[in-house]
Amino acid sequence: MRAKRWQRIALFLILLVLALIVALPLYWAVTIALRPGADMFTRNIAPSSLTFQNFYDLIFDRDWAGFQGVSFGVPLKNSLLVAVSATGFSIIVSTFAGYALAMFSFRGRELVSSYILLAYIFPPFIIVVSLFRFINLVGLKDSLLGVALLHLVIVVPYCSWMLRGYFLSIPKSLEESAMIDGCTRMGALLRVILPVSAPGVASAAIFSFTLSWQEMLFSLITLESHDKFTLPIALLAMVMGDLVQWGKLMAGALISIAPPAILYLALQRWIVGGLTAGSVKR
Amino acid sequence: MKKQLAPFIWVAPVVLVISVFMLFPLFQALWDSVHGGASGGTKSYVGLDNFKELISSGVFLGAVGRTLIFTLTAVALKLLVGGGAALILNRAFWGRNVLRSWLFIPWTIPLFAGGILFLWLLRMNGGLNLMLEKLGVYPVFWLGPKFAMPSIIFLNVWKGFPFFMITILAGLQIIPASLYEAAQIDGASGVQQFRYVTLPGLRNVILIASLLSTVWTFAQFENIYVLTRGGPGKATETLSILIYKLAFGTFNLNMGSAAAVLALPLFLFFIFWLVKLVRKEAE
Repeated sequence: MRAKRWQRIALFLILLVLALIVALPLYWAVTIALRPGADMFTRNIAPSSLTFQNFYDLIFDRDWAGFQGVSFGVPLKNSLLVAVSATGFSIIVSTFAGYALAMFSFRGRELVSSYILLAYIFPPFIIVVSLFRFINLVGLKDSLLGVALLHLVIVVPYCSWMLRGYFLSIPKSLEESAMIDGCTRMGALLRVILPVSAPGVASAAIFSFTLSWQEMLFSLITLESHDKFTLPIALLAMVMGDLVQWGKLMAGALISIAPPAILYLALQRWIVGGLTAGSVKR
Repeated sequence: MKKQLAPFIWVAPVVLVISVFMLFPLFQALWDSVHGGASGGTKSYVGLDNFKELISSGVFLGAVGRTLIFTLTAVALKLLVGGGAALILNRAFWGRNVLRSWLFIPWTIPLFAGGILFLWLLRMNGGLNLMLEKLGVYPVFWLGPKFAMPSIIFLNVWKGFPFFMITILAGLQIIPASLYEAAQIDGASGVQQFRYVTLPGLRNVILIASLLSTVWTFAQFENIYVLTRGGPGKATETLSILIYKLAFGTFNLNMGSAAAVLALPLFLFFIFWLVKLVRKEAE
């Protein structure tokens, strides 16, 4: 019994070490972001005092990182705009597709499902050049609409596959009884199925939001002017400067981390299904 | 007739989006790859010249090698760390839920932001070296030629292991407790239980998680671009970085497409295997 006890403690310690490694970059980001400017060149691990000056400067001091007078609030707003519009569009079209694939039986159903799954797994960097050409061709270069459109590549297959899986778990009899009561298919979806599926739709929306939020490559090939930058490009631009202002850079990174981290941690229960796109049975 | 058509109208917008933004661009990439490139304008047909140049100059195979090292090492480590954490977390102990949530945090951090955090951590006068200095260790040039590859692998594992942790943990919880009880009655040791009950029960979960992670890691761009931009020199120039550099660094779009097309067969196999597996598992 004693040996068992030591074994347990050893395993717990391994996990604790892992937890410390996880904490390492976060510890530095937080303490660098909260460090007063004069403290930056000391070689201390702990800051001498804490201040929110970096966060304040990032938003209100227009000269941060010599960035043509654009506040960090602008990329924050841009990322939000792109993520919300890509998600909104995608949830609408994906709800219909996912519902049809789960509830209707028709020829080609399995083929369409596989097509969507394939699109979900396919890495977009293979087609990045063609997408760049496309954006130029339709005149959406340097526009947030262009970025949002490109994000559909990632978000639409994901939402469709997720929602298909979710609707599959809803008993078919629910739709049937709604239709016996005189609902059309659309009526059954809107009045009966959607209200019961609200958690599934909401979690698909939240995942899709975070997917769009963390995408960088498409912003990189589309955007050029500072007032159009999304968060990843804004942070990159701060690094490209000659003198990196680490305090502000870390503050910016923490601001970009907060929304998805809060959403994910609040929704942990649903995450497993999301991560494997419904592949692991529960 | 009307009845047959209706379902297609429901799925049409999604199919259209995927076709316009993925299938069509894929054909465009194929077309691009045999036109223009190093010799002549963007519209002249050059046959396989682009591919030949990519291979004979050595840039492509170099990137393939680095991508394989990066992908295989990172996925193996993620499986090891994530799986190990899941096995420990599967036992009941004090503070388990807090630890699980804490260990999950890196997965929620956007790729680009993770890169920014590590930029400070790994730079010459950065966090890790400052800590080592306190321990009396000389600073290490983490993002230099020798350690750049291990550094991007470190970042990738740090960010990606929770995915394995969470999926394997979920997999562990669906293994029926009765199987363990039966094994104990038969006198199986802890190791034997792991070998004959736990591992077979996790087989599909591990396979799917590893394949998904392989494809994602293979296509990894954000982390590497933010942290090293493929450097120093070509030390961390993986396929995605190479394609980006060719297309948008040297502005040879056709060459970028050619590299992408040449890379395609390398993981198309994984993608189809994955699709088949997931479809089978989900039914």
